[in-house]
Order: sequence, then structure tokens, then C-alpha cells
Amino acid sequence: MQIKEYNEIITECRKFLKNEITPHVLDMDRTPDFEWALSVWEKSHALDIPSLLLPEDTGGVGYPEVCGALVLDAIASECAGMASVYAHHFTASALMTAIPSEQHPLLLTPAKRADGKPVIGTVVFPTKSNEEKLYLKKRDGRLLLSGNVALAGNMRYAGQYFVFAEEDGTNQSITCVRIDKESQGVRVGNEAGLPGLKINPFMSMDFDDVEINPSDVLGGRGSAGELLKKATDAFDGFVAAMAMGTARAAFQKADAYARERYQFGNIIIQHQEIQRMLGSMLMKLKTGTSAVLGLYGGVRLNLPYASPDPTLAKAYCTGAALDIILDAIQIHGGYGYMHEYGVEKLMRDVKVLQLMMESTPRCHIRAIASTLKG
Amino acid sequence: MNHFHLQYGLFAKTPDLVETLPGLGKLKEVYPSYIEGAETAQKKARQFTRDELFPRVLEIDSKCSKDPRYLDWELWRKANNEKLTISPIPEKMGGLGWSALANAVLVEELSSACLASASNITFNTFGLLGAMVECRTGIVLKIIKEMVEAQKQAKPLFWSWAITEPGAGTDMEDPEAMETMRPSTSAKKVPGGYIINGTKCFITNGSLAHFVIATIPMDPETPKASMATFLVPASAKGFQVGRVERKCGQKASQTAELFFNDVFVPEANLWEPPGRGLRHTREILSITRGYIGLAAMGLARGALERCIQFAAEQKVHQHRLIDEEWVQIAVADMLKDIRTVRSACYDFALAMDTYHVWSLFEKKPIRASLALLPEKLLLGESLQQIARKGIVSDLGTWLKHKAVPDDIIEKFVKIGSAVKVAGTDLAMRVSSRVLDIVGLEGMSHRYGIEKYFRDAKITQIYEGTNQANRIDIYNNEIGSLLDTAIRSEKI
Repeated sequence: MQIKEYNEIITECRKFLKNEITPHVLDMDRTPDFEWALSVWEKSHALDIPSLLLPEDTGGVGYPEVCGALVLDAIASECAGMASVYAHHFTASALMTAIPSEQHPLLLTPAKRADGKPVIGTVVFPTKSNEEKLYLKKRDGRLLLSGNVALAGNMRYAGQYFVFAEEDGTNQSITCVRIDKESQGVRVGNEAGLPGLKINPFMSMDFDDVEINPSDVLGGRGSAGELLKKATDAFDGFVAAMAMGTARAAFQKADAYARERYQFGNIIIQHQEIQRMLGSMLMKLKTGTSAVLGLYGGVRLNLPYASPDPTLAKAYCTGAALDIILDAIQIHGGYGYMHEYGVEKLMRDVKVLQLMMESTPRCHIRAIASTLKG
Repeated sequence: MNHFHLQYGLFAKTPDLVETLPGLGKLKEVYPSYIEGAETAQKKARQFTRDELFPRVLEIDSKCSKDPRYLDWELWRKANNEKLTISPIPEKMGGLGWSALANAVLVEELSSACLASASNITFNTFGLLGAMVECRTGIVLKIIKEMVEAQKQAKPLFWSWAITEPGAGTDMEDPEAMETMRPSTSAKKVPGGYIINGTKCFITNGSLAHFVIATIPMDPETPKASMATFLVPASAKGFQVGRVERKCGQKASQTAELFFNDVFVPEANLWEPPGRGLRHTREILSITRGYIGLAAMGLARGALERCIQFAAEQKVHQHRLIDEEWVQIAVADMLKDIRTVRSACYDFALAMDTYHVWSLFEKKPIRASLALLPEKLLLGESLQQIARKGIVSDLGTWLKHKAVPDDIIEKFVKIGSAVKVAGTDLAMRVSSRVLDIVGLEGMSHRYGIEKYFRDAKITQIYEGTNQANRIDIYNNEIGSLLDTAIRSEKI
């Protein structure tokens, strides 16, 4: 068990955050500086965070996803936007662990920088709920990717994209391919203008007959269903972890504020209603955190009714986190609504996390609808 | 995407006030001019909102994100030109003569597009509402004259209420809490007037105000017993606007810090004597809380209407987003909630007309004066001079307190608080839920839906946090009964 090592990583990570991220969070929310984020990323190599989840045979640390989730929780407690940069990258790393190791060198040679560090990655998921789609076709013996997505994360940073696309005309079979940012035909569009995660703006993306290198097809043609599930599960788990990290920050701020704010003749934490609110927030924080950890540890008991479900955990945790944050703002009163107190930002960030991949009602529907197929 | 506007809500055939609130039908039968007045207001308010406000909302929001002091003066002038800034002033004196009901319609429509811009336009009347508390005839006539003249000349005339202090939010609004508060401000009696010191914060329009109505204690050790209300001109020496806050939402409405540094105000600017300051605040709250509930309900309506519009246009595979059953159920559920809260909001507005300050317009002396006196005289200097004389000035106060006694004020704090909590909780719930429907893409700034989510949160906080509002509801409805029971048992 690597619990001790995880704790060390988190401790180091927190020190790093306090120095590098915390002082800049509000400025970066207001006027995002993408160079700053890249400089943080560079410095985080010293802690091996970018290579944390990459397989050892690729030069990574080879830690399991739970460690990634813990790190993301910690980063999100300071800045969910910055955490989401790592979350997208970690999801790409998680994909790497799911493909046969013999493919690692083929994939990773181009995906490494000259200094051996990994290029920032991101996963482009197929959009399930609108018209846009990505598809692969063969022309003159070349494999080409075309189509567009309305929203993709890490577009300001990623040097490589892991894209899930349909085989043209099949409407079913999915293939996963790796693409370099510089590939011809890749076009990154406009920022979506979301209210949160400002340091990591979502952007639209166009692929115009982008040629795919045969060694950059992950797994096999048309058989990336498992990989997609792996990536989706990893990402949902990471989003849930980030939501709880953000909510923890909100809870701690509210708790601290309630112990110093004087109103109605006393510090407000002496009031039953404030205690009830904080208690309810704590309940959601603890059950949400358990839900995240349950994704990685709960499976050991092998209880069928306790099987992990990252999508539902993400839906639950982001909802719980939003509730916690709304109450945290409420406890802060007017101050909670002001940018400089850093509480309202958490609300904007978490609402974006909540809608990532699919919104909660869609997650609920899919959880049941998917059991009806076949 | 093929762009169209669903003929619904803001874009529906107007007026639809009675159609959407059929309970008003009976009232229209017995009192047609009253409801027709509100229908005219709806037409005007909706047209302005559709044509002028709605198209600018997102640009204003973006500009204010960069510069919290930005204000779209062109929009404000257009609203002013339509007299929306002086809507409650009697027609004969130059206003629109809108009832509380008609003003509710205005607030609802404007807020459905942008609550912050709605407050820029409608908060202009704060001065009048403040003066109506004691209703000294001279002061009221003077303020009306100033407002009407400013409107005619297209000059802004802003009034702010400075209640909140850095260390006292709820404490400034609650009788029990005020006893133990730690005020930062204080006033000192000097020959000919008062010297004011201290800081107020989160003051809406504080940075734009020409006059600030400030609640300030004479003795910080006994805040409740010594709380007074002053009218402070922004031009007064020692008055200074501090920071204009950067906020989560409601960016078009400026929120400022105000500093009072040995500000002298003359005796005549003491609007409420020491000990009456809280009473003044309570009366203001008895009006504004209900209207905040109304505005928040308008916000919820606007958020849902934008969501419906998006869902009707957005394609999901082979169908529209709105064709999905779960979306239809969610939309219906929100329609149900909005309808329920909206009824309560309009019940509040009708009650305002019946029992609160608007009822004054129905009182014989005021009706007779408005009917008989020519317009020139009403706003003329000679009437004002007479009105400033003790007995005539006191007559207004007497009439007002007779028409709107203290128990009515507390009753309206209660029902206003209930409407406020219901409306603002609705706004937060709906503005979050519509985002679940439209998803991440629909959350993009350009669709204008996420703005409602950012705007909504403050409504649960200002005008007393919803927790403080709930305390008022309990104390007024149940707590006071128990106190009486205990008292009578003792006897």
C-alpha cells in the first residue's frame, strides 16, 4: 500500500499550491494569463505531477488513478481551473494505462518533449447530445479525421489530443487516435465563454481531414469502446474529486468566517441556523468525499451493490458541491458575492464541473437507459 | 441555427397580464381603470425591455466585467425618456402615475432581461420612497419637483440607501440585532446640524448617487435607541465614494463603499430623529423586500424563457432538445413554481396599493389636491413654501401615519419577506436548473443563460439575508403571538 507516499505527495503538493497558485487565483480568474498556467505546469514537473499517472515503462510514476484524484482534490481546493488542466491530462494518462504496453513506445516517442517530460494531453470525447460529430475515414490508404466539437478542454495548453471518433458511416464503432497539435487540418476555434474554470477555457475544435499516423491509433480500429469507458470513468472520477476539493475550500472558508463574523450579538457560528447550515454542508462534504474514495477503494469488498459508478458519483458530488458552495456564499453574506473574497468563484467553477460531459439529469437517464440496450 | 423568438413571455402578445394572472379578471370587472393601467404599464415595460434592454444585456455585462463603473447611459436615457425612472409620480405632476401593481409589472419585465439594469432604472425612485416615510409635505413636493425636472432635462438623479456597514449587515435591519451591533458610523450634534463619520459598504448606486439616505446612530453604544436617518448630498464636503465592487453578477448595478469624513449635514436633513432610524429602515424594507422577490421571480422567468428558446432551437441528433421528455417535465415544473410565486408577488403588489403608501393616492385630500390644483401650482414654488410651513408639513405626516400605521409596516415586512424568500430561492433554483437543461454549450456567455445564475445569488443575500427574512416572518406571524400570550398570562 502506498498510503504514506500518497500523503507525502499531497503534502508537497499543498506546499507547492500555496506558493505558486494561491496568490494568483483571483487575478487569473479575472484576467487569465495562460503563460502563467504553463509556468506553473513547468514547475510542477519538480513534483512529478504531470507524469504521476503515466505508466512506468514510459518514464511515468505509474501511480493509480486514486492518487491522481487526491492530487486533483488538493489543487481544486485552491483553483479548480488549474486542477482541470491536470484532470484532462490525467485522463489522457489513464488511457495510456489501458492500452497494451507494446504500443507505449510507439505512442510516446512523439508525445515526449526533448527533455523527456510528457507533452500536455487532453481527451476529446464524442459529443453525445448534439449534432456535431467526429468521424474517421480511409482515403487513398490514408486514415483521416474530420468533424468538429463545440467544447473541448485544455485547448490552450495541450500539445496532443486523444480523440474518440466514429468510423464513418458505422454510427457505432469508435476509434481512439492521438493527434499532435501541429498536425495539418487541426483548428482550434473560439473560447466558449463559460463563467467558470477561466484559466482553462473550453474551446471549439475543427478537424479537417487530419491525417492519422497508423501507430497513433490506440487499441485498434473500431474497438475503442472499452477505452472510451476507461477515459469517461477516469474523467468523471476526477471531476467528482475536483468538485469535492472545491467544496472543501468553500466549507473551510465559511466555517472560518462564521467563527469571526459578529452579528446578532455574537459570532454567527453560535447561531443554531448557521450550525445547521454548516452541519448540512459537512454532511454533503463527507458523503461526497466518501463517494469519490469509494470509486477507488470500495471495490475491494467485492459487494455487487457497491460497485463503483463514476458517472453517478460525479453527478452526486458536483450537486453536493454546488449546494455546499451556495450555502458558503450565504454564510458570507454580501462579502460572499464579491470577487475578492474568492467564494463566488467557487460557485461558477463548480457549475461548470457539474455540466462537464453530461448534466446531472442526463447522467441519471443514461444510468438506467444504458441497462436497456441489447 | 435558424433564429426566431418563441411568442412567449417577453415576446408574447401584450398585454397578457390578466390572461396569465386570471384572478385579476374579477378586479378588472369592478375596477377596470386600475387593471387597464397595469396593462398599459406591461405594454410599455415589455416593449422597452424587448427593444432596448434585451439586445444590450450581454454587452453591458461584459463591459462591466472589465470596468465595474461602466454604465450604459444611452440605455438609461431611453428609460428616462419613457419616464420609467419616475413611474410612481402622479401623472399630473409629470410622472406616469403608476400604481404599485403597474410598477410590479415594470420590475418583472425589466428583471426578466436584466435585474441589474432594472435596478438602475427603478431605484431612481428611492428618494421619493424615503421621503414618503415621514411624508413631510414640503420635502415630498421638493423631491418630486427635483425628480420631474431632472427627468425632463434627461439629467440623472440617483438616490442611494446607505444601511449596511462593514461590520453590520443583518444587524442594521433587525430590532433585536441592532441592540448589540457594533456600528462604524456615528453622528454628532453640532450647532445648526450634525457631523457624520464612518463607513458604509455594498451600497447600490452609491457611486452614482446625488443623495444618500443614511441610517446612522448618534451614539454607537446605544445604536438602536439613537439610530437616526440623514439625507446626505453627495456634494457634501468629506463625503467620498470608495471602491466600486467587483461582483459575481448584477454587474450593471454598481455597488460601492462610502466614506463619511466629518461630513456636515444641516438640521433640515435629519429625516428621522434619533430612535426612529430603524423604523425608517423597516418601512423601506416593507416595500423593497416584496419588490426584490418580484424582481427575482422576473429573473427566474427570464432564465426559463431563454432556456426554452435555446432548447427549441438546439438539435440533439434527429430531434430538438425540447422534444425530450425529461426537459418538458423540468420546464413544466419550473413553470409551476414560477406561476405559484408570481401569484404571491402580485398579491403583494395589490396589497401595496390597498394598504401601503400607494393607498395615500386614494385618500380624499390628496385626490382632491391632484384633481383641483393646476399642474403649475403643484410643482410651483409658492405651494412648496406653504408646504414647508409647520402645520401643512405636519398634515402630510399625520395623513400618512393615519393611512399607513406602524402595524401595517410590520405586516408588510412579513409578507414582503415571504415573497422575497420565495422569489429569490426560486431565482437561484431555476437559474441553476436551466443550465442543467442547456448543458455546457448552452452555458456559453453568448446565450445569456449563465448570467441569470450569476445574478441570482445576490438576491438571497441583499435586502436582508433570506435567513434574516425568515426570522422576520416567524417573529411577525408567530413570535409576536407568543409574546402577547406570555404578557397576558403575566397580567
